[in-house]
Amino acid sequence: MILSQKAVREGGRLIPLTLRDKPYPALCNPSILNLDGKLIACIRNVDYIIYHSDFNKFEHLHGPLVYIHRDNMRVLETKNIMAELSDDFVITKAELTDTSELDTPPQWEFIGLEDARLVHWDNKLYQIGVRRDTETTGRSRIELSELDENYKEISRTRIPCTGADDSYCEKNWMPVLDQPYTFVKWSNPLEVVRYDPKSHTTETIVLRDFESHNSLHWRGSSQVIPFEEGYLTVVHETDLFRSQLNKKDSIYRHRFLFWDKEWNLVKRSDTFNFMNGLVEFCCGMCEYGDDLLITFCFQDNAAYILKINKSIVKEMLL
Amino acid sequence: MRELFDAYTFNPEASNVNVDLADWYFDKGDVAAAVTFYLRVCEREETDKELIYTCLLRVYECYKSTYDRAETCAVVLDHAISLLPDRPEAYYLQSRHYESLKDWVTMYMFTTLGLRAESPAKSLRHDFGYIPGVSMKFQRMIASYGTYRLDEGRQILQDVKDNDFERLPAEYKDLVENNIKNFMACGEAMIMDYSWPDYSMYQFKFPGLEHVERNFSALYQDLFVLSCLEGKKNGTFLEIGASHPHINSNTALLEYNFGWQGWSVEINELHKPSYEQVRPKSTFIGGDARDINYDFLPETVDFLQLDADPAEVTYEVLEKLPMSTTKFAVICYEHDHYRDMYYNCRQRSRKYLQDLGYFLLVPDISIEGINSIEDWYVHPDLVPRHVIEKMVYRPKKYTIVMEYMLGQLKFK
Repeated sequence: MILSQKAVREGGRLIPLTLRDKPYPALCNPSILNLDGKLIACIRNVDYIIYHSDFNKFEHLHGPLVYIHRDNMRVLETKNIMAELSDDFVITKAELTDTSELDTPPQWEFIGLEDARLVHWDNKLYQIGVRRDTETTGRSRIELSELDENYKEISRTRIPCTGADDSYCEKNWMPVLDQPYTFVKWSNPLEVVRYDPKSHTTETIVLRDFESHNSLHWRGSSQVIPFEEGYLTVVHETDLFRSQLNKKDSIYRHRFLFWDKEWNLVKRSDTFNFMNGLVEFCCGMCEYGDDLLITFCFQDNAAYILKINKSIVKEMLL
Repeated sequence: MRELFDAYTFNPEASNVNVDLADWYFDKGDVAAAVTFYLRVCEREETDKELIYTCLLRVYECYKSTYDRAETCAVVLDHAISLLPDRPEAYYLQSRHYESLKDWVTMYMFTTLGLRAESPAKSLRHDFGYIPGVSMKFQRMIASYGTYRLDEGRQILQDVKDNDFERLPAEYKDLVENNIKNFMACGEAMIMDYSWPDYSMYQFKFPGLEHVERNFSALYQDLFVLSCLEGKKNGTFLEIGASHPHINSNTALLEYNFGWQGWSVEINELHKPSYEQVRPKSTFIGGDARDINYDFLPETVDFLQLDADPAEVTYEVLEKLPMSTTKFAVICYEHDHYRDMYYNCRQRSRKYLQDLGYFLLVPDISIEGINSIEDWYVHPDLVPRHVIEKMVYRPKKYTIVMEYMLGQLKFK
């Protein structure tokens, strides 16, 4: 199912997020937050342009799905652009997040805070994403990046994993909007964790059994938002495969999950795509009156907001 | 804008919808997004090859605009060439691509292929800067220089200048001008010299030639003057743009071997001591030839040389000379037509001199038949008729000076 088609047919809108002046060519993985009626977005800006030959007709030298960096470029740097939106979803202000005071020399080739989700916890605005540039091994951790009113980064907190904090890769934790420092770390088996800023530790507060009838591959996408006496989120599933010429390719699909307040998975939707693309990624969702605003990228090359009536989503939840 | 995206949501597989969206992003400078939708067209369109071709070229432009993604640029253009090998645009862009990489050999190859591609019968949705009949020729010219095919490069450059200049976009005109200044001069710097073994080949022998061991001019001008005046001794000259007293000098032979004297006008006054030392019969006049009062000239002077770069300055000097009171028997006029883009001094000087009664004896003096440098005139009152009849020459295009003077090309 094409979610944008369903949304637009019933009064919704597909809105492109574009910026003429930006450091790098591609805008992707946008997140969105409704801050007491003011809409703000965080858009990832990267210096690669994905080349995707959907049906292998015009494959690149290196396969159907290739991240085209600058020649001889050894790093993947992410910058984040904060945007303010009008009621009609027009970008009225855009500021590159100034991280200069907290940046340290990168130790690995993935530089910057990736796939940042926006939250407002304890009256502080945060970008929450994954950072891999602090260790020579590229070990990744979720980081809280606190922003001031000018979207300048004023504090940075690297969140340890639960237990011995000895895992290699932590990413795509989904922040729960109304529960500060709480994340859905994994969706099946469900694991909800909470970070304690005072002790600088993270503990598991909910852990469910693996549900074999559900997908093993539900991975974090949007924030988790309070919705109808429970929590709603968007997760993604990835099918990584090889083309006939043994080159890497992938398909991303998304679905809604709905938990009750006790974190029981009550409903879920079927899988959908946003714009009939094979590579899409959702990084944000917020309520906006009778609608939900869902932000996602298309082929990592373009960023969008989908305005969809809540009733449509409720109908999709089975 | 909203209509575009609504159309997409309901027809995401339609080529026309995807290309509209791609163009919208492209026009906004959002090239990454544009790549996605152009590629969607390429992957989905079944019949309209020109549309796919256009989208591939646009994908190239998108990647090209973001710098340092050369491999992908080449891949995309290769796809376009494979799709429609008879169209020239992708070859043209490939040649530009490899030009930017300074890979002249590959660039030359793509111009070879591109020049064989047919002129496009069907216009494309977008303009890629390709001008039929001009763009590929221009690329070929650059590739020729890059691969050290200098003669070919100069020939194309002259052809572009003569036949296509007015059709060129402004930036191309600048390039043509710069290239003419930079590359055509390579030919001018070549010296067409005479030495005594050439005596038997010399076409217009005159008394005293048998004693000439060598000449000094770059294009046989000194010998031409002596042929016109049948080896005249003790003649007079006015030399505008004299430069060095004997290197490439048009008057050194006249003075040294035939006892001529005259005035050597030269803007570079550093040459003055040399003239005083080795050219005692010449009066060196330093300064801008346009600022000199020429009232000192007698009623007749045997030889006038005009060569004050650039072409428009030479013409200004011509207008400054007292042509109504002084008659010149022989004139070598350097109009530098090959690099005179705007002033058309060749045409203007011809009208000016012919209106004064001068006869264009040998037009368009050229080294290799590629670039026209000078015209040679005589005044019928001062040069014998039988000499004029013997020496007059009308080339098909340009006068290859060595062939004219020696009857053949020397092999060195």
